[in-house]
Amino acid sequence: MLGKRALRAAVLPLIATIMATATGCWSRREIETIGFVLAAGVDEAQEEGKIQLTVLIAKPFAIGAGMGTHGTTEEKPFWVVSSTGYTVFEAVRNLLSQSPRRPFWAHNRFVVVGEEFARKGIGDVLDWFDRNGEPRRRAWIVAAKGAKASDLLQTEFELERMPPEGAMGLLKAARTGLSTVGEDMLNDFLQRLEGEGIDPIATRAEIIPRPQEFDIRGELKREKVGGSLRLTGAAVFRDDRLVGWLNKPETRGFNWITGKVRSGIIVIEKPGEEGKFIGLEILRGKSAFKPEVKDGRVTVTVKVEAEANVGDVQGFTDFIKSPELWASMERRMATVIENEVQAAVAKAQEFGSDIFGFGAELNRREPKKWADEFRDRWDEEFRDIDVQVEVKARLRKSGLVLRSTRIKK
Amino acid sequence: MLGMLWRLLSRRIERTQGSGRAETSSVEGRISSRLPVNRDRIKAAFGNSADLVLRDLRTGAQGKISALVVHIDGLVDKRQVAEAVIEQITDMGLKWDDPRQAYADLKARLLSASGVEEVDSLDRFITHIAGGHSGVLIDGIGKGLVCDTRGWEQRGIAEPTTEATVRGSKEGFVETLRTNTSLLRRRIMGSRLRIEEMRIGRITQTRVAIAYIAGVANDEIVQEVRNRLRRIDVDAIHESGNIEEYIEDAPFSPFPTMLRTERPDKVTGALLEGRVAVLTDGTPFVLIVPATFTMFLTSTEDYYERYFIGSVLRLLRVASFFISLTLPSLYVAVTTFHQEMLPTPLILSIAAQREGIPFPAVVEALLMEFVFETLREAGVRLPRVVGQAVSIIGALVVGDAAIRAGLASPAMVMVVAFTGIASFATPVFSLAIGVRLLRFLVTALAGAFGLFGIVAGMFALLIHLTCLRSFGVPFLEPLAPIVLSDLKDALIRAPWWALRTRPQFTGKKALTRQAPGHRPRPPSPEEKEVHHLAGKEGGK
Amino acid sequence: MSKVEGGKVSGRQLMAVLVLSRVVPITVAFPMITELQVPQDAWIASLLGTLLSVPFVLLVVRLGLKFPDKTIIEYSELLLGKYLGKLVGLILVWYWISVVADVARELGEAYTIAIMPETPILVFMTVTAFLAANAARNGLEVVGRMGENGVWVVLFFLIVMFVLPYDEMRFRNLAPVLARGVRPLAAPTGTVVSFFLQFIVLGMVLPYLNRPKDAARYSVYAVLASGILMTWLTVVLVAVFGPTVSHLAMPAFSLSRMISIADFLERIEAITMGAWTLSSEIKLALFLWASAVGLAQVFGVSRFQPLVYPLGAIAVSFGILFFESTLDLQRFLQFKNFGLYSLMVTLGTMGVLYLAALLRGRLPVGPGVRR
Repeated sequence: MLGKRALRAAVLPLIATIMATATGCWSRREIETIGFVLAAGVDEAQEEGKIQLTVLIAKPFAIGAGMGTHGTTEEKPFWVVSSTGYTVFEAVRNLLSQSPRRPFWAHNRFVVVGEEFARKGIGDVLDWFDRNGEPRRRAWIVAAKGAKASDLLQTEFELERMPPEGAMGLLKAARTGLSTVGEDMLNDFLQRLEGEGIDPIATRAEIIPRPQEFDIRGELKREKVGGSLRLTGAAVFRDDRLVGWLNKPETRGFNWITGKVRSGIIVIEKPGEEGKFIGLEILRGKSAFKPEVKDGRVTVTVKVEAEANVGDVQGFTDFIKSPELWASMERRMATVIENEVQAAVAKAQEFGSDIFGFGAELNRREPKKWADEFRDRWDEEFRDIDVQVEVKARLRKSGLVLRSTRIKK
Repeated sequence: MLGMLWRLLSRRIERTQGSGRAETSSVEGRISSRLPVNRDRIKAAFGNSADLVLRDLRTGAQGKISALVVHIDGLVDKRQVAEAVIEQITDMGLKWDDPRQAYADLKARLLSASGVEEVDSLDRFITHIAGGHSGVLIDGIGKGLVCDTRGWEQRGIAEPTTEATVRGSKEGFVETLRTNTSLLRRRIMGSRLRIEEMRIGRITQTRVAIAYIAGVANDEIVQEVRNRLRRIDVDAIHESGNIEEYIEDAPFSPFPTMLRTERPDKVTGALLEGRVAVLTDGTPFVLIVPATFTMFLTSTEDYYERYFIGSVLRLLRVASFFISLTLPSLYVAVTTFHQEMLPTPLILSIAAQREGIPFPAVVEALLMEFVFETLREAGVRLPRVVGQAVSIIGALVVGDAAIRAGLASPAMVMVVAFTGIASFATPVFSLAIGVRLLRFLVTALAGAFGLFGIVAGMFALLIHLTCLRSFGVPFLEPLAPIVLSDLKDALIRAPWWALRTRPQFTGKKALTRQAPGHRPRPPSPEEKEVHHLAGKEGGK
Repeated sequence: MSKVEGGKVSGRQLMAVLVLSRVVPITVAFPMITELQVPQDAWIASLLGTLLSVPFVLLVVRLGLKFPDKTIIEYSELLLGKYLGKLVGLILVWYWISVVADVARELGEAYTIAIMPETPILVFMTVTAFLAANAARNGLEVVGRMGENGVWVVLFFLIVMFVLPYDEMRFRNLAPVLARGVRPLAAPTGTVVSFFLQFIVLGMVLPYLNRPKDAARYSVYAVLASGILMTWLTVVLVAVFGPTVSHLAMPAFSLSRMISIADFLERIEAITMGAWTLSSEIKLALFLWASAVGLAQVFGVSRFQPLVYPLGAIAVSFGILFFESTLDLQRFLQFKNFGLYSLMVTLGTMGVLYLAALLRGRLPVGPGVRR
């Protein structure tokens, strides 16, 4: 009686210990033996048919401010390194010949593609990022306009030591404050690649050359490698090939249609006073679009509702005494929005890429007609569809003052 | 494995000890009517012990009657012996003519101690004396009288040191059984409290009492406790811990299946749930059976503070139980297997801290745990003055020097320290200690298999806990099996007016505790009316 | 009461264990999703399959209650005679062992694909099977109690997983409904049903219920509860992954990888993995228990405990030997393999038993006639 229970009680821990000591540790990787990849870029390699993979790996020992013994503030807390291969996975493994720490991809936030490479199609390189267990579908796809991805990864920020942190900050700030960036995470990108009647976009990024710095004696300092990074709109893909770019207003037009505008600034000319401007802050935007088939042709009606506050005003204005001014400002605001939307649609139609998902929406509304008439020739059809824009613009508040300061003459 | 080893060992020991039954010195026969014979036999029985006091007295009208007062020095109240026994015999004895009269007189009214018993077997006489009674023998009488003059130095009732609370009674049990039973009686004044006494230990003859409430406690459980106690046939019982080991359900489990406490209010609370208490002479620690897992995470305070405070505190204790069991292993698993789970800045900062540390994280964790446990153990045993020095050294060595020397990372030190604090939040030491042992095991598993190891370990633990029983009650009750009506007083404590029933397993004999409708509510209009009128009449 | 097992379980425990064992194939692999041709209609297939499974479960319960003290193994012998009855018993035991084998393999695959690729799959399979066997050895009572506890943990994680990726959910992915008709839904619906057919294990549990009249109620609850969970999961999956959902080897796992709350609670898939391990363990324990008791009864052995570990070992080796690769396993789980196999075994045996009962006149006239 004693023996049995004791046996049971003793065997479990015994087995556990034996397994732990004798067999375990296959997948163990001590944290200091791995290199955290925070951003990765893909370009064409010099060799025909190969790709070049560039990764940005964190240097933990250069971060720790509290750990006086390691690192100095001069030392960059990251390391950018490239390798090549016929497939992404090969390039990933080839990194091991340069990096003593095994790259670890779970914290990767960005997949950057160089323009030249992206124009040839990026579908094949995305497979590894979806298939492997480490990288996530939450990585942002970024296209480098007029640059190679490897150069983009060299850029630095003044306010953030870790460039990917900086880029995340920019992305968030632009999303909530400007609404002028297009964004697709790998998850959305893949869905748009596969979905019918919809094409992917990516964030458009550019390198701003950094002005050369002088020290106090007026001598030129060591030139820094990286310039600075700026997010300037969206990259438009047709299937997996980059076909063109949207600038900032066009991108906001795109965001109006897809309902992603959170905030932003609309500048209008002051009614009745040439050369003076009024800045409006978008509070919220709502939108819906509805494709309809009439006589075998597709018309899309885009309805946008926007609300804004007056942000700043040039010239003397008294909103209380001039209600008609308020109304005409709203009309001008609506015109600006409509122009942005039309510009985005015109660009997309020029590229032949349905980034808005008009086709997908048509499929949802009229699956029969979509399957019979449009699915196979949507690329051409999209170029010709008529887009009607209805904008309802409302101004809500004028800030802490009701009329501006009158400068005495 | 362990069990086989154990059996082998004990067989060896039995063989070397021969019969294995301990010798007891029992004195045969009845009390002789000749005083010198009795005197010699008593002296022989105690082996001429130094503290045996044999007082020969002459009394009677002509001083013809010789009497003998026997007691053990130190076990009796000397003043009482002098006043109630010796004075009675010498002063009042002057009118006695013959021993028979003297004996009858003494027995009936003279010996003024509260308990006087007539004994005719010498063995019983001696047992009483060994227990602190004083015995009176008169020449020519074949019987003896024993009077209860017990009185020895004892610790006063003080606040329990191992279970301090902010609110509630400050009384704790002491080393004397009778005082302890009186503490229970004082809390349960009704006559239904039953206290049964027995002696365990051939040599120590330790008094052990079972306490329960008639009509509430489950008879089968009471009987089971009696049976298990009766089965104990050993030399000595030193502390209730001995009894626990002889009668517990799962001797090889790291979890205790009996609850020990030195708080009388905790015991009465348990008795009223239909449980049984085992009190042992010589120790302030009382055992409560059957014990369930949730009782180990309960403090009496939960029942005295308002219910939501009690509930929150209990949840906090449950959380710290899990923390003290798994936190180091989670840390090891996350930093060596699942680096993706932490936010990027945090994992980078941990990576920076680990830079240059020579050990794998598991070893680092086990090492720091070991250091911490050693410090704790040292702190418990040391005198208070030195203890402070130890904690300073500990803080310096573990907290700072280890980090500076590159032996441990600050994050690990924090994890281990927090785990240590969390393990102190478990109110019952015996559970906390079991959990500490398991923690080392789980940490090792995490070091080998990451989270899979932890989950596997937890699953094994769950199997073990689910199989455990304490005196027929499932150890995890009411969590497994889920007993809905008992969940009100498990991980949370419902308000008193909602605690209408006793636990299903132990209290099924008298399930209802209180009348319904105790929940305070504003007076109904009729009641208000009555109050209003009463107020008016009062004013008149 | 059969002597082989002495424990008793409550209706709630039965329900918990059944839900857990149904949750396993939707959280680790989710074969029905892989078979989808029209992802947005997944929820219809899921609901349909659930409803279709209810009558089957009721059939098992009804037949079981006819023989209050007998397990399905024992009454098949009564109904079909000694040899045919034992044959049916062996088929069922085989079926349960095969379920154990592929659950163990699935779990191992999940771990080795995504979390710890360097560790041999055998480690995961052996450890889980060993622990499950340990629980099974302690009898149905223990399995039931653990299920009762485990189900809350697993439910918590499932619901966390179902709710937290709300940022990524695009419910317009669910339209259009039935764009390509119901025909493409046949195979996924069949898969859903085929996994519900594993509930034939009820035939082993029924005699050990402490209140047999709860049986029908709680088993139907179990089907509906797991059906609702499954439907909810399919909706969330399609909302998050859109048309790409049917590529995923482990959709629910990928779903938990999408969770991100305030940049802090991210990448928590290892925790969800832990919850699935727990549910798999309990499922393995239940089926190992069923096959051990079943085998003991077929051969008239008085104790099932000695059979549990060997059966676990056999199941693990089957799990290794049956499937050459992950794809093999995924293909096996599809309707045309596992589905048909499951249908044949369970519907076949139940059909034969029911017919025999009809012929022998042991079927009740009305419902609920027991005792």
